[in-house]
Amino acid sequence: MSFFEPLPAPRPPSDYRVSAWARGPEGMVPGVVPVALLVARTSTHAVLIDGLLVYPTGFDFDLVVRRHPGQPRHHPDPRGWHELRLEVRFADGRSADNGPGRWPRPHRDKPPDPPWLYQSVSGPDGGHVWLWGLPPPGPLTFACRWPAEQIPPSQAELDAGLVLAAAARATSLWPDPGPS
Amino acid sequence: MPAWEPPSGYRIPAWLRPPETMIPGIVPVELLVARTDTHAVLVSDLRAYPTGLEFAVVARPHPDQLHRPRHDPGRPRHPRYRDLWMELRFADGRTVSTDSRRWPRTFETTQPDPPFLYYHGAGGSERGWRSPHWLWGLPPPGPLAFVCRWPAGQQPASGVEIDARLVLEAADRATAVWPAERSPA
Repeated sequence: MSFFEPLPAPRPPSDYRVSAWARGPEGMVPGVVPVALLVARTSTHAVLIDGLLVYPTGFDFDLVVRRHPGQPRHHPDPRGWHELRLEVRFADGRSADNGPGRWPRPHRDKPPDPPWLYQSVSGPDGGHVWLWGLPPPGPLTFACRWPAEQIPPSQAELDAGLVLAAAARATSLWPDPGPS
Repeated sequence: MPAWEPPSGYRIPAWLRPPETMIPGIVPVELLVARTDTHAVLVSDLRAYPTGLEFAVVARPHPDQLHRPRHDPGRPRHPRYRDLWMELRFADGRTVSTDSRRWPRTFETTQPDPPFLYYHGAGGSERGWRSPHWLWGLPPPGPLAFVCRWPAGQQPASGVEIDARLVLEAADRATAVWPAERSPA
């Protein structure tokens, strides 16, 4: 290409979008599960699940770390908070967790088989999690373990009916106007 | 190289944050505060404690807006989310706001009289924006209104009202993580 040849037509930037199965629907108001769950507690740390917001396709929640007053927020090993492992188990035995290497390989437009867990935020205070897929009726189990902070395998259960009822309450932010 | 040392033990004052050793009571509502053809503002993640109410102000564009290229001259100009102010109106006539001009000058060092509305920054992009808020002090019984304003007049003020009983009942459900604690920290 010489300096005098016309430049190619500009191309608009690509419009990357997070896959629909990796996040809650952007145009919906979620239903709220009015429960905060204590999953694990030692004399120095506690792990909570709260902020459960449910859509027809799955639910968001916060994985929350609480420290007893006087406990340092920063672990001597900066990788320590990466070791907080979370697993969500459905009543039918299916489960998903935040272990490494779980990002699905299939094509971006092909959703993974539910349940599938994606932790979008992770840090010393916990993180934010999206679970693709709704649970069947029955117990919904949240299990965690955190070797770096001496938290043994621990779990707590929630009635999945609360999640399903919240999903039914989710509404569209911009409802279709319908036929005129 | 000297050994790494953790940061100093600064803690945000108790009146500017939720209690760190409590499990909140969840307020079972998501509030649509404002909506236009192109954007919506929600109050989300309401969590109540004996000392106040935590919530997030969330702004979202209509999904169709995300399909339009930035350089599209027909793309509507979106409001600047960071200019958004939140105001709460209580049943007894008092109001609180994130307009920092209304904050007491010593709010960072001296506990203000409740109610006091504070926000812990904000983050996001034109795809969505989120700002954590903290109301120091619980509302009295009766109507509780959440109103959002854009000071530059980009959008008209808009609000929604709930029964403060939802917040007060949720605050009653909050519990200590370590029950031997006598007061929230």
